[in-house]
Amino acid sequence: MTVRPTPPGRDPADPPLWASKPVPPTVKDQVAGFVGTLKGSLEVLSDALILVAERHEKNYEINGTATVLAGWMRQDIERLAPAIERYGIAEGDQPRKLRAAVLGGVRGGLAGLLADLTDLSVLAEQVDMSWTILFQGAKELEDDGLLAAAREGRNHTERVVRWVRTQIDHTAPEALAVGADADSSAVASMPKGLDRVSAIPDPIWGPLASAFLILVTGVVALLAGRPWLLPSLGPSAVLAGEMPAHPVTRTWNMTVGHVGGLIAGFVGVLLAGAMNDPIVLVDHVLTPGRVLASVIAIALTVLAGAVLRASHPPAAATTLLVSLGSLRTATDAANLLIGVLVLAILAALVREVRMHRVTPAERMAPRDSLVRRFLRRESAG
Amino acid sequence: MESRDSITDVWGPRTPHPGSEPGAWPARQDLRVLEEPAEWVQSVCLLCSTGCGLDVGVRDGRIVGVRGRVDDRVNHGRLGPKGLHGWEANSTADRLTVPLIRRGGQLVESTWDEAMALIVDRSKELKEKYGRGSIGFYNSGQLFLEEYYTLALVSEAGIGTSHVDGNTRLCTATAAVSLIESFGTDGQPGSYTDFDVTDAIFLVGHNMASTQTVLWARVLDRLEGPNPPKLVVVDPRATVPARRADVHLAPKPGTNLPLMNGLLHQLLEKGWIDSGYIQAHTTGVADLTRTTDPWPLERTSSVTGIPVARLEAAAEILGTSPTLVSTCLQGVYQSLQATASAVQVNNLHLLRGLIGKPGSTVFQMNGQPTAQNTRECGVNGEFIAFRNWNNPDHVADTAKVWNVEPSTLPTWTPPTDAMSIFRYAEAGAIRMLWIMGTNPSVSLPEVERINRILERDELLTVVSDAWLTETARRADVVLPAAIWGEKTGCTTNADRTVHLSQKAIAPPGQARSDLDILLDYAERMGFKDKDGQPLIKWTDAEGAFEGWKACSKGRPCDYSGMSYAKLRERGAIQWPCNDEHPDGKERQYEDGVFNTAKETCETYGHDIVTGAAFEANEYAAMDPKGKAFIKGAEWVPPPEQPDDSYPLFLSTGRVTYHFHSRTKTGRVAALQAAAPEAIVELHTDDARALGVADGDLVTVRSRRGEAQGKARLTGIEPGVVFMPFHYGDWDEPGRKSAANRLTISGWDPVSKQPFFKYAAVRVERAASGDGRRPEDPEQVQADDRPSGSHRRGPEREPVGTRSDR
Repeated sequence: MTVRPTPPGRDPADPPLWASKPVPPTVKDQVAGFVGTLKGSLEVLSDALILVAERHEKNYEINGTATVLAGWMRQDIERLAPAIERYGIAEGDQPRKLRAAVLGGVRGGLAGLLADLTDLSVLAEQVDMSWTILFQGAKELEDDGLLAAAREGRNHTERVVRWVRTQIDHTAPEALAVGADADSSAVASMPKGLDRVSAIPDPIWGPLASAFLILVTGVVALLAGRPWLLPSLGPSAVLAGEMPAHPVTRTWNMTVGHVGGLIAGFVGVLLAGAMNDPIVLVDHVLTPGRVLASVIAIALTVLAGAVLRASHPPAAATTLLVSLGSLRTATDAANLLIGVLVLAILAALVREVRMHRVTPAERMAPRDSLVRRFLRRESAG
Repeated sequence: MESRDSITDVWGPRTPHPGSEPGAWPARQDLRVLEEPAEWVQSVCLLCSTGCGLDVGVRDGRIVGVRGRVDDRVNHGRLGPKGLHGWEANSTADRLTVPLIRRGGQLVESTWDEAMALIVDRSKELKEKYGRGSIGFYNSGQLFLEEYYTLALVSEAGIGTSHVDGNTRLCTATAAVSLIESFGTDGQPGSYTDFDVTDAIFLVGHNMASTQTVLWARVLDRLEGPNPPKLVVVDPRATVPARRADVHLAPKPGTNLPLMNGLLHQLLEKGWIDSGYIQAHTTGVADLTRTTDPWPLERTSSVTGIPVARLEAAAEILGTSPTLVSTCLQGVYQSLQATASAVQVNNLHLLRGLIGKPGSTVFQMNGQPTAQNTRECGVNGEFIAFRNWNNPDHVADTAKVWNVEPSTLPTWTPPTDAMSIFRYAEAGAIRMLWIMGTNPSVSLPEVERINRILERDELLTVVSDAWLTETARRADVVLPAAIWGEKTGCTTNADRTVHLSQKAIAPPGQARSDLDILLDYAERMGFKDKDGQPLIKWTDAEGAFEGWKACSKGRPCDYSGMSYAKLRERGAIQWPCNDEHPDGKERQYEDGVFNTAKETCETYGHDIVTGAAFEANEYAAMDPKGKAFIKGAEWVPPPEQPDDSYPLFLSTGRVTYHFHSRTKTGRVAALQAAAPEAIVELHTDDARALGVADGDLVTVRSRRGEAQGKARLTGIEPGVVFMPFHYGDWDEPGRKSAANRLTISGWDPVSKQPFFKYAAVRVERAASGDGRRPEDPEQVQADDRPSGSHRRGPEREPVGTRSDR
């Protein structure tokens, strides 16, 4: 029933025939966008499968096959390489936004498993649709290589969707109808490796990670004897701790976002001619100039975020610090930037630990990066 | 008096024959009696899946011996060491004779009334308070058909729970599932007589010499006769069959599927296939082409570690032999990708059109004597009589036979598998678990976890057994059970042969058969059919059998033409036995029509790599209408690889002299003496590197736990460690020799059969031994006879030796 007949006239052993037809630039950009969405979706689905496998480690029914399927998704990412070479790739935020919206909260027991499976099916549908778009496009582009890759990719994705549905079929009756006692179901759903990062629920991880970011930034600043810990780092730390999957917490967004906010603030003050207006938080006076400066600065911040693909809402706090006069000198700006940089580096580390998942095969790969080795130690046991 | 010493002469003297026709195996009666019997009672051996017909000798109400039945189609009079000795266990002094109930942490003697009242009160309370899914049943591969069938009614129509499985999940779930996935329903296609005439035998992960000694004697008589069949053996150990093989393939752990894909690739490439048969009787060959495509022999060789020359030699035998019998057992079923690999062996036969013909079949072999019956009766994760739980017509059919409303049957999900039953018990969803005649404390993977679950205060554990096993010691209620020889019922072996095992003696003390216990439970629970009549209409085994005949009528496993009288008269009958085939039928699928039509099939099939189920509408869209499925599968590399901390692979298995957790065989002096303790088999080179000598006590550690055994240095694959799983601690409390302390809670996604042959471990020397090698009499016997009856002629030199690697 997994029959997928070989296209007529082609031996399946033949290497894929990559289209030789020249591709017009506009078409190229279009395809690059969809290739980017697909690659992002595959990465998100692969990581999500491993995350779910680790969360429900004692349930081999989930753990075993989810890990295998994650491996397939990684294979499919590699399958995209010729397409990326041919059409380029434009990665969008959409897959990560989707990831940020699912798989969060406290997930344990059979009900938690059901919620995780539902989320997996949403992510798998996203991948399936992306493959379908490229599959259909490849026909028009007469790109047999892409067509073959898409055929394989769709096969894998359909099988993920079918597997998720089968697991939901099996889990739902037990999850809905049986009043298991809370204590033992919590124990039974706790992963064997309690030190696993993926086992920590959001409500515990979020506060700890955010506090950790502020703590380390603060200690670094104290040791340096410089005021690097400034108000606009707060929201950045919260985002990095609470929504690590969200695209606005990427290092690029965090650093470029704050820089943009800083510049936008100064530009706003200049354009509004509010250089010598009272400082709102010191003098407790709000002038029309400061309001105008803030309006211009916020608009510029959002614009810069959009143009540079570096949206980062906490950057707006930086903007207002400038436009309201609290931050006025080059030294002030440098202090803020150093603080942002320290925080961004820490946040990247925290995010990597929280978000990056490796399949057992990768975990056992002989040549480990530093981070891999760290993760491997994390998940040993 | 005994006809031969079966401990040192496991397979007995040879009776070679040229293989002229099916069933042409000369008879030889094996016998062992300690006193002259006053009468002989017709029965069947219950200590492996071969199912040898025997007579039980009785004197003064005691069993005094057994003799093989010479006219029995299965064994032609022969019996193996377990069969000749196992009956002694019935009369051991430590049999359970009264019910026990846990009070203040101790199991204390009680009465049947009290014990049953406790179980019944709790059942009613749980059903009322938490629903029918709060009660689970875990049965065995050693009860009788009548007991399984009664259990099916009690659990499915009475309680209405889907949490019913047997320990056969551990040994034959993959046999069932692989047959279903390929041929539409469970049920072996062939017959043991196919060994008598075949031109080639392919043993895949099946140490037949050890696990089915009488069947191996049948094969030996062909190997020793004129015109012997070619023998190809897949096994990482240099087992007795491996050493007899024309080609021995020793794959690295976790590479059964690449091996099969490589062999099939070679068949397809060389054109060693029957295109006419494929066209007419199968569907899906294109899928197989896709999945075997990446497996030319060079890559297969590098992944499996088997030299190309051997792969070529094996593929040539499998591809060109005019007839072929293949068998799979635990080396396939308890390894990675069990179903996917077993299905590839089915594919081999489908590609060559070698099925349903004399001398040509595939055996997806069973492990336990009545495993076939648990599957037929729907208490091993299948629906009753090979019906499809997902097919409303089949559900309605069953409901009609049982006279209940279809909605009372738990058919909204597939029956729960054993490992999930224990997980639900761990999670508190199952609050009462009734374990019948099996010993999960020794036999399940990661037993320390299982023991913690059994000991949970919130879980009422009921155990029926004949002895206070490792599991019974952890129970809340222990029911003393009557066993083989003390009750009557049918058993069906791995070639669909049904035997009647009759009561020869009375059970000890107040012990009762599981059938009587279930009937008592049903009456006390007040189970009713939809007309308000008692749900279960029988009061004895023969009545249950008559009920089963009605239920199985019209299904592939049709018993409707049998009766106790006919079984007594005929000795052994193969199903299907009905009006059309009153004497039973030797082979299924002779016409190339399989049970795959959507009205007939047992499931709508699965993705054999992920375990994902296909739905009714998907199946209907491609209804094969009787064509067999050829299903390909991609390789999934092993999840746990040996690394610096755990550098060796562990494989677990069996020894000739013991059965399961030694509950019976460990109590028989001769069998226990032949294999008294756990051993750890190591390759000589690995042992040298670890500083381990023959006879040293070694500790084997995995990420789950540790176990100990005596080292035995052999020619096993380097990097692989082997331990038998039989050795729990009932005879020496606190002993840590159960191999399942090390194994992984992981299983095949389709058959849900755990991986017992696969875990990463490290080995350390714990204490010096006396330098004496812990011998396996079976191996010694094979080694000591380079000439004579076990001679391997020069023309049978295996292709390639270790040096050609």
